[in-house]
Amino acid sequence: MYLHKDWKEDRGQDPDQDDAAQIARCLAGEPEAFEPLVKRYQKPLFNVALRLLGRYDEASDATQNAFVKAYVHLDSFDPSQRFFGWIYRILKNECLNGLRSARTMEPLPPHLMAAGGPADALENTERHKALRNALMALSTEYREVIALRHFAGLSYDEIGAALGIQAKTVKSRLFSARQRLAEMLSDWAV
Amino acid sequence: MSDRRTTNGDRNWDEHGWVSRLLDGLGDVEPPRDLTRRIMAQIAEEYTYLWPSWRAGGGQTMVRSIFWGVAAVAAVVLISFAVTGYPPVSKGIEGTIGAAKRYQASQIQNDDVKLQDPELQAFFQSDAFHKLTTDKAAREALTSKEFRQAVADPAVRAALAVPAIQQALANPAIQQALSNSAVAQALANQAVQEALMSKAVQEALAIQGIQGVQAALAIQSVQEALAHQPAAVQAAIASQAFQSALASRAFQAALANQAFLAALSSQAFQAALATPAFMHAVGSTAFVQALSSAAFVNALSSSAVTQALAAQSLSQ
Repeated sequence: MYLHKDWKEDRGQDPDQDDAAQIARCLAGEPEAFEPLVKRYQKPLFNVALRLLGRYDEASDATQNAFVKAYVHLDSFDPSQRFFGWIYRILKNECLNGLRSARTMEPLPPHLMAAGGPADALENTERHKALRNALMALSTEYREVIALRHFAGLSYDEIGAALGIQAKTVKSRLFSARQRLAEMLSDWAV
Repeated sequence: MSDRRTTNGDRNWDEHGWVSRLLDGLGDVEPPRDLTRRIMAQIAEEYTYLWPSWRAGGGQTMVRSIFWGVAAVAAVVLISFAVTGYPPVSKGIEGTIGAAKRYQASQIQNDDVKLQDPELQAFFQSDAFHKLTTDKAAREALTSKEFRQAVADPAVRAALAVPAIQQALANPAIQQALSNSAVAQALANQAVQEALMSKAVQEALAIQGIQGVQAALAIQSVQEALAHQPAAVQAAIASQAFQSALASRAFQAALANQAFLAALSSQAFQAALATPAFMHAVGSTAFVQALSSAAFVNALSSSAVTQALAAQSLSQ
């Protein structure tokens, strides 16, 4: 288990069972039971959306839409699966729709990529800017495995479950994605 | 493209460690502080009524929906008839409904029931509807199939537009009664529904008005009886004799009698209601005939009688 992210450490003894219990309460008519799920997963989902979309506000909207759509289709959730993997697929569709819409607009100058939100306060170094630009230059397929591994903190198995691929394929895809990043960021190699 | 492998032949997946460190160095970005609030607010505003749903499948959820749906519809229909006097009562009891007319809005006749969507809209925009939608049980009822069928009924739609009915629906006693599962279960019983739709019961409700309905539904002993002896209560309500009793002047007078209502609310009467024998007696012709006697009602209202009713011997 990749335990880099604190959100996973705060999930309790049996997070999947806890998630299923909250969902059951929602379906029984307690919409407030959805709030713990939002609080538990909003940060990793938002961070993945941010790395997929590159814009703070769009990532926020995509995350909100994903949670609302998840609530609307809660009866289609399979309790034997992990909630994160299920809602991630909803989020990914939201992000892909957002990216498709963005293509029809004027492309942003590279120096404004991922700018315009509080994220800039934390990511204001030249190296980080170069990294953000390199991430946005990756294909969506590569970007999402990077985001799920490094910004959601998922294990290979968890990424595989979310993407519907084998863990070995996840490793291979991650390797290729990092290699592509390494090529683009060769000036920053340490 | 490099394809470095470890000594055992596997690919070294941790290649480009500096890239991983760089990525990890970006750190987490905090989502907007109000994101949770925004999500929950959108759900509350747009999808509060979504669950439980028929889509959720069978089991307890569907059963609850049916119960609450029927309860809400039955309450709406009951109150509608009680307040509007629709359908009009027979000539035979015209003299007895004069007192009840103070509860009535303008009388709705058969020919008057020409419904317009604005009438329904008026109800949906009322404070009463708002209060109902903030109540969990009512929310479930309002999303039910039965409610949708009810609001499609011309008489119900007309009744919903009447301010007095809206006021009644906003009444805590009515809402409390509706939140009682025993009441809901009883109202879901077909025999009870048929009884409630009977002319005799409707006439009785028209006479007793909202206060009578409230009094009957709000009495804890009645609710307890429904919970413990639902079949007996349903049988009693469905019996012709009990319906006749409801329509009788004596019973109307009894319900207007504070001592009688107090007796109904007593622990002793509650215990009596829990016994099958007593419920059987309530539905009997003899009991109904006895109710037409003021002396019998007065006797029922006395603490001595209610205690006697609760005695074990009565239930045997």
